[in-house]
Amino acid sequence: MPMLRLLPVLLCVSAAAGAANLKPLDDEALGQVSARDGVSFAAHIVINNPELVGAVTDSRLSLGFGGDGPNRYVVIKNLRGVVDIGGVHIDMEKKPDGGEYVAVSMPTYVKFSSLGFESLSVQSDPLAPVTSSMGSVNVNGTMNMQGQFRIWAH
Amino acid sequence: MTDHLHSPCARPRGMAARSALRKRWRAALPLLLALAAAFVAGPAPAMQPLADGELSAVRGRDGVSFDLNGFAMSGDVRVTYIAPNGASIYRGNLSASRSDSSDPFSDPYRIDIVPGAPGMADVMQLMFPANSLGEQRWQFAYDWGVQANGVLRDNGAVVMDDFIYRGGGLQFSTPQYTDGIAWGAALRVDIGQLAYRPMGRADASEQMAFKNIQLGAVDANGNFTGGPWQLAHVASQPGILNAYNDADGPRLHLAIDWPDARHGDGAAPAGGLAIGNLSFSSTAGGNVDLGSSRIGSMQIQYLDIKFRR
Repeated sequence: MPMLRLLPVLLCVSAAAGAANLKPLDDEALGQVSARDGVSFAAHIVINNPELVGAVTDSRLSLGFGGDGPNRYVVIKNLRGVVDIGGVHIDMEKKPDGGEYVAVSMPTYVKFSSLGFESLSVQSDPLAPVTSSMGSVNVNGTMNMQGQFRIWAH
Repeated sequence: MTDHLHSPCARPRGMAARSALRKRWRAALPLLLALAAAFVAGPAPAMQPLADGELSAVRGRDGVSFDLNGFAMSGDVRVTYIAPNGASIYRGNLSASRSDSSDPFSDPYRIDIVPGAPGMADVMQLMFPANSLGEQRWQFAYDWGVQANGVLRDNGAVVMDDFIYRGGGLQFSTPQYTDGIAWGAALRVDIGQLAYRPMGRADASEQMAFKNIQLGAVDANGNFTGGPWQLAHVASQPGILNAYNDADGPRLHLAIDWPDARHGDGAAPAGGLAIGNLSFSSTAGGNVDLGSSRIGSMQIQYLDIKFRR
C-alpha cells in the first residue's frame, strides 16, 4: 500500500530526471571528477580478552588436513591481544601513465599489547585438550611507520 | 437464508469498488515502475560491433601490482617465542627502511594467478621486483636475546646494510598427492654487510661481520648467472607445508620433494653462496680478517622437516 501512495511521486521524479539534459562522460572526463576523496581511520581492536565478563577461555583456530591416514589439525589456541592503529589514510591517486592506484599511508602508530597465542599444536582431534604444545608467541610494544603502500591492477 | 448468506456483503458498495481498484493498481504496478525507470535511463546507447583488431586490444586487468614508497619503520616492539618449558627467545626494536626505484611504478611486486603445468592446479604467483639496478635497498636492525632458567641474556644486535632482492618470488598451489599447501620459492639476494654487534647496533667497534654476501643461481661451472636460485617449484620440485602422520602421531611438516622429471630436467637447480669478507673486530683483541668464502655450487635434492615436542 505505501508503494501505491509513493507512485505519483516516483513518476514525477522520473519525468523530471528524464527531462534534464544528461551527458555521457568519457573515461577522461570522468577521471577529472573530484570530490572529498580518501578515508582516514584509526582502530582499537581487542581479541579474546580473558579479563572481560563472559570471556571465552578456550578459543581455537584450526587447519585440517585429510588423506593418508587419520585427519590431523594444526591448532592455535587462544589467539588474543589488543592492537591500536592510528594514522592510516586510503586514497585514489593517478600514476604517470594515467592509470590509477590505491595509496595507503602506513600507520604512524601501531601498539601491540600481549598479542599472540597460548599454544600451537598438531593433533588428531581439534577439540581435545592440548598435550603437545610447541610453544607460544607474544608481541608487545609500539611501532611507528612512514611511507606509502601502493596497489594497482595490471 | 439468502439474506443470511449475503449479509456480510451488505456493507457499503464503495468498499468493494475500492478493493477492485486496488487490485487493478497492483497489477499495473510493475509496468508503471518500468516506465519510470525508462524515463530515468533515457534512450539506450547504440551497441557497436568490434573488429578483430580492436577486440584484441581489449586488456583484462587480471593481476595486482603493489609497491612501497618512502617506507621506514622503527619502535620498541618485541616478539617473544616461549617454549613449552618456559625458556624464551626474543627479537625486538626492529627498524627497517627501503629506498625506492628512481622510476616509480616501473618495478613493483606482482601477484597473478597463472595456469599450472598440464594436469595441475592453477598457481598463485608473487614475483619480486627485478631490481636490476639495485635501487630498492633494505636496511634492517634488531636486538635479540634469550631467557632460560630464570636468566635473561641480551645478546646485542643484528644489523643488515643494503639488503637487495633481485628478482625471484613465491608460488602457492594445491599439492599433487596430499592435503596441504604446495609452494615454490626462488631467491637472489645481495647483502652489503651482515653484522652481529654485542655492544648494540650503533657500536661497530665490536662485531662479527660478513660483507658482500651473494646468493643466487649458478651455471655448471659455479659462476653466478645473475638469476634467482629456484629452491622449490610447484611442478618440477614442489615444496609442501602441511600436517603429516608419522609413526608417533601427527606432525607439522615442511618439505621439498625430489625433482620431478615430468616437469623439468629431473635435476635440482644449483645455487651459489659467496661471502666477500668475514672479519671479527674487537677493541680488546684487535681485528681478525678471515678473508673470503665461497660455496661454488649446491643443490637441495630433498628436504623433510617434522616439528615435534
